[in-house]
Amino acid sequence: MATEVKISDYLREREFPTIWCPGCGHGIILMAAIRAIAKLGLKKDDILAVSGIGCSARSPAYLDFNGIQTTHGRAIAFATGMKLHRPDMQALLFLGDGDCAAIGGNHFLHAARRNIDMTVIVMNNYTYGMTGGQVSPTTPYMGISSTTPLGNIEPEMNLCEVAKAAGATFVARTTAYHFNQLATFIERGIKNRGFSFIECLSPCPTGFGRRNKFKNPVEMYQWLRDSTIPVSKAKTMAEEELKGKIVTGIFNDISRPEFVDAYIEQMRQIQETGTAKKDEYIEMVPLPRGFKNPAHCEIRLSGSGGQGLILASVILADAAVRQGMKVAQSQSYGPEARGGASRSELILSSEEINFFQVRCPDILLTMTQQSYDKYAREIKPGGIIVADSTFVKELPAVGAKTYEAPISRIAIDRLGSVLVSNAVALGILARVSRFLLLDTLEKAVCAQVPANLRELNIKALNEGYSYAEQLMK
Amino acid sequence: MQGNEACAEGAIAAGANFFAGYPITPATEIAEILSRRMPEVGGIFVQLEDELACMAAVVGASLVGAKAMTATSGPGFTLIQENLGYAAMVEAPCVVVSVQRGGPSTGLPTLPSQADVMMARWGTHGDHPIIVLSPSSVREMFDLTVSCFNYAEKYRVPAILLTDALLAHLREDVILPDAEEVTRFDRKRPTVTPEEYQPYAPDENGVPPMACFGEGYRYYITGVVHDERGSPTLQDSTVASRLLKRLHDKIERNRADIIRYQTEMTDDAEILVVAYGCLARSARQAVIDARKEGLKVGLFRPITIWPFPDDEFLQAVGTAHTVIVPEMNIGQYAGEVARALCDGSKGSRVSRLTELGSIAIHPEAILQRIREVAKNGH
Repeated sequence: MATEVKISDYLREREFPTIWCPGCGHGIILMAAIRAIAKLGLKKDDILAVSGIGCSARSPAYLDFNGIQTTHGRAIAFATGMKLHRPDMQALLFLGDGDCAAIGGNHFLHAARRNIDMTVIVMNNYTYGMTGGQVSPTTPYMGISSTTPLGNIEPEMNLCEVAKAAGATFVARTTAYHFNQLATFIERGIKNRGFSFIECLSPCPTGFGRRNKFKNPVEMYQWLRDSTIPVSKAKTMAEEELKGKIVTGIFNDISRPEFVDAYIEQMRQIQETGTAKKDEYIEMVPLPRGFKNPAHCEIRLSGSGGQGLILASVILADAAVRQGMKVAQSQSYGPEARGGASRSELILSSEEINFFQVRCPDILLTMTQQSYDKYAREIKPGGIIVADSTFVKELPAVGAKTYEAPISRIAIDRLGSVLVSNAVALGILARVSRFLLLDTLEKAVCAQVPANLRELNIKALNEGYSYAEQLMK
Repeated sequence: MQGNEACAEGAIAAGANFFAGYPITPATEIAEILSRRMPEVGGIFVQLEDELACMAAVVGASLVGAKAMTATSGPGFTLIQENLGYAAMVEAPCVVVSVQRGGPSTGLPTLPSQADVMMARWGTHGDHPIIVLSPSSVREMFDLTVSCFNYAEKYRVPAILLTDALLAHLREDVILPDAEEVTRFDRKRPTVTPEEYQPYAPDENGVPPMACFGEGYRYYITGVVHDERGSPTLQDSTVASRLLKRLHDKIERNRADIIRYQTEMTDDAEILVVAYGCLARSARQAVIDARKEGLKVGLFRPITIWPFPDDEFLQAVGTAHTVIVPEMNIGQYAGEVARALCDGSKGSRVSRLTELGSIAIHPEAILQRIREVAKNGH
């Protein structure tokens, strides 16, 4: 032993006596953790001792660190938040087997995958001890528990194999009987910059032992002593020989980028490249002499997902704000990212808007037959319908002024991309509406479309505008 | 600017430096925006494995000093309830944004609803304190997100911004205040030494000064009932009732600061419309239109929906004979309105106007109800 440790310096003695039963292995694990921390010379203020629920979860109460007992299964998730905000602190987690593998299984997998820097000690006593000895994910096959009176018919989970497969960079197993090895593993776990997983088998004479033919706690420690096989030796043994044995040792010890380090690196990149928020202030445009905005206008753009209708309505909203109107833009879409029905709506008004959903649009754009069939009849009498004749073939009259234009076809043939059909449609809408100004729409396109696509979109806008010009002659 | 965008910018303006999220319609934009904005301001954005983890990480980050938030919708709001209760119990300041969509279960993921108003109050188990704010405009999505952070920090309580799909996806023309115009409140820190520090001993305002882990004050935090020193007790009912009373008392005694509301034309009102969130605007339009018809109607809009603004509401009721409550749910808040009327010994009748199809109630429908109530006199 390298350092003489005064255990009491690390204990919160006013919380004693512990709740643990005589013969329980948890106190030994606590002491091994203290030994490792003392040896590493860590400051008590820098240690986060985190636990969930169950017998194991009382550990932080007895340790004079920054102690937190969280909710059942969530210790790893709490510690994830803590480490992300304070990566300089050391997180030491004390979990139970049910806590880690059953209710907390998801967090266990993903923290290992992320390789976030924390040391998880699973105090595996094969049972839910605090509630009186129910079956857990690590209870041996056919083991007896208070909820498996005839024997556990589920095979047990090999926690270390799972940890390794999920990506933990340090993985080890030992028992409460092997105190020195345990202290060494915890020390190495803390030193590993990444997700360290240490499974420690811990006797539960009350919940597990007495139901499973252990006459007393001593027999349980003897069993841990006699049935363990070092991993190096186990490699030379046949599967049959390993039945009923507990393989101990280090199963994984590799190096791979740590999660918080990687985040901080990305953060630095973002800060250095100065992608800071652009000024979102929208500039108003002076309106032409004699021009008046409409008092109230409701617009619906409809078609299918992928036609860019939501972006088109955002551009329209942007343009309307530039023209000094009050705007409410909303949208609805199906679950499909592409191809489902899509609809976006705008209300433009000179007064405050108190209802945001369009009921009878003044202007309706339909980019599919389905949307024409569904919405055309809702048009306000005397309203304007623009239909993409590439897809809308049948247009039963509904008492609206209807303009047919092969919008998608124009986008493909004249602009080389179907992706700008929304901009073509906007150009048409601008012309037929008689109040959306082309140059404000151009400004709005510049504000809302990525730089490399601006030119093409503005071309498409103008193409649509002149097509409508022809239509209206 | 979109509602969700205003909310994300509000969080940044409030000084938030931690966000954990999980994708869910119609709240996803908040996470998407903050995945870019957080690193810009030196804060953390993380997408975790589920909403249980998000809320856990938010509370964890708060306990080590972060201003932390998550944003979700119905199904995810169900999952965050677990650690929302923990946050209330250990008094961890944090903010949850819930963008309501049609439910129950998967419901109508893209459409608005107000059906989580009771879950926002009582969703997690136990008698826990909570503050819930309900915005009615894109600008308020910004302002009230800031307020949520400030209340959370001031009273060491989880604060919820309860909005809906309609407002979250609504784009309105807004002008946001400059950073220096935004008031920020930071949690009160202990002034005593670590040896003297009792983590759950309240100040004169009922709120314990908060030492964050890693600042030299080592103590123990637990969701178990605990005394002023933070020591858990499993049996002591005196400690339990003292703790729970204080958790509620710190909200009760500061109601004047926490309760925010708006009234319009209530002075001579014979009919009062109570509406919150996006529907408050429909209601306002209906009240304005009804006044034009000579009907004596007023509007009461609770901005702080929890705790329920009893006194302010009762004053707005005055001598009104009927209170109309339009809601996009089965009448959840109307039940609370009836409770408040009863507690205030008012004889006014409650008229529920409910919508279960995830469609915003049109001003015309509210006006129609006002006319009916006015005609029948009740």
